[in-house]
Amino acid sequence: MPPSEILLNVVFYVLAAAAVAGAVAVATSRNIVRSAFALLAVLFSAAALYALMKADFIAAAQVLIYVGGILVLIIFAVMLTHRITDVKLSNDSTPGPAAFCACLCLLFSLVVVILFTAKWRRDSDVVTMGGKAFEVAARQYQADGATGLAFGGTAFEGTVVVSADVLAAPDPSRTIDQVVFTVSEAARPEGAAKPPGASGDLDELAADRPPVQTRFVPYGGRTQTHRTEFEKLPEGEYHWRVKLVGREKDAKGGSRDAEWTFPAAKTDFSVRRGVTEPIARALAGPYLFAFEVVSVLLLAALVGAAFLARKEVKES
Amino acid sequence: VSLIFTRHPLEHMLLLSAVVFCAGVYTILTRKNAVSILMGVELVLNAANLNFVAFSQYTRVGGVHGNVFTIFVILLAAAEAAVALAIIIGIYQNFGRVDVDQADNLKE
Repeated sequence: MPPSEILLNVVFYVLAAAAVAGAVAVATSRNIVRSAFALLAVLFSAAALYALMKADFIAAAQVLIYVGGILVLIIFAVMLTHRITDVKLSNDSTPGPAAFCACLCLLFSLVVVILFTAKWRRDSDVVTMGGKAFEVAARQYQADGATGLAFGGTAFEGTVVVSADVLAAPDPSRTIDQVVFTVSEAARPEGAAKPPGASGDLDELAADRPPVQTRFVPYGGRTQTHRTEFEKLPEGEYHWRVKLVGREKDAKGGSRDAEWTFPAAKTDFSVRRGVTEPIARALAGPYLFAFEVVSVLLLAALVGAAFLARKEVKES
Repeated sequence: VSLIFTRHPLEHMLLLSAVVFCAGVYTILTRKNAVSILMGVELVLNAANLNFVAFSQYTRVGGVHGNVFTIFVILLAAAEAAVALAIIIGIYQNFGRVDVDQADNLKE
């Protein structure tokens, strides 16, 4: 495991611990001011987790709106409605063994669904490709080689790491020298405009923007993970292939060069530069109506809140 | 599922948000104070947001649809918090406390 991956694991567990501790403190603290500050910890951890998931725009919006707006509103509500001194009375909770049991049952069912029932586990991380002689397990990762990138998922940076493990032992007549990874742009649907030079074929390399990149990794043995990194991929849809290059014995007893290519059945991904621009396009495109409805709703909420909170002026 | 986050990031995020969601539900169920209930609602909404972004990032559905929904949820949470604060202040002016079991005038 490379150091950046270890670091990502540590960061996730620290943030998750902060979020869980904050949530539990919100749920159990008898002091309402303490509850509010525990909520602050939860909101900040959630923002950092969004950044960990490459959703940088959401992280910024979370800090701006939740921490800067909603949490300040909540603290104002605490200040306006309580004497801060008698905090002991201010956050009284009903005795809740029944509620506790209900929440435990809810948590248990959620965990069972997440871990054992739902189908999304299977297409997340690894695909096994069988060949005539070998079996290869292929994985793909985000830019820093750490966070897993689901097959068919979107990488929000131009760098993607791919890896292959040779699972089955080559039989004695065959040896492997190299593992070759090839990334190419996925075939476009019929009728779609082809950018110049874009092709899935190795022979037609474009001069300025090669649609195919190939990397060679020396074969290190069956137990070793062969991984390499593709940088500066432009935006688009891609798929990649694994090729094992080596030698095999021919019928006369001599040896000849041979290679085994594994069809990239599901090894595809797409590349987008940052998440902010796609969000803007989505908001201005398919979600335009929802966006307008939400803005009208915000206006209605503003007017309603001002109406509810106004002071009655007594006419004398 | 192994305990290594980077091997199964989606499951880790879903489990984390399940815990936060249950804490929020517990807060909503056990509190009488309206401000505390509002905090529980915020916890539940944050758990949902984590799920949206995790599915958007780690599944083949992909794209940015989950991120867009998260933005909508954050905006609606802001509107909800503003209206809830106004209602809480109204209850406080009428009853002198903000316990939700006291504001039962509609029953009579």
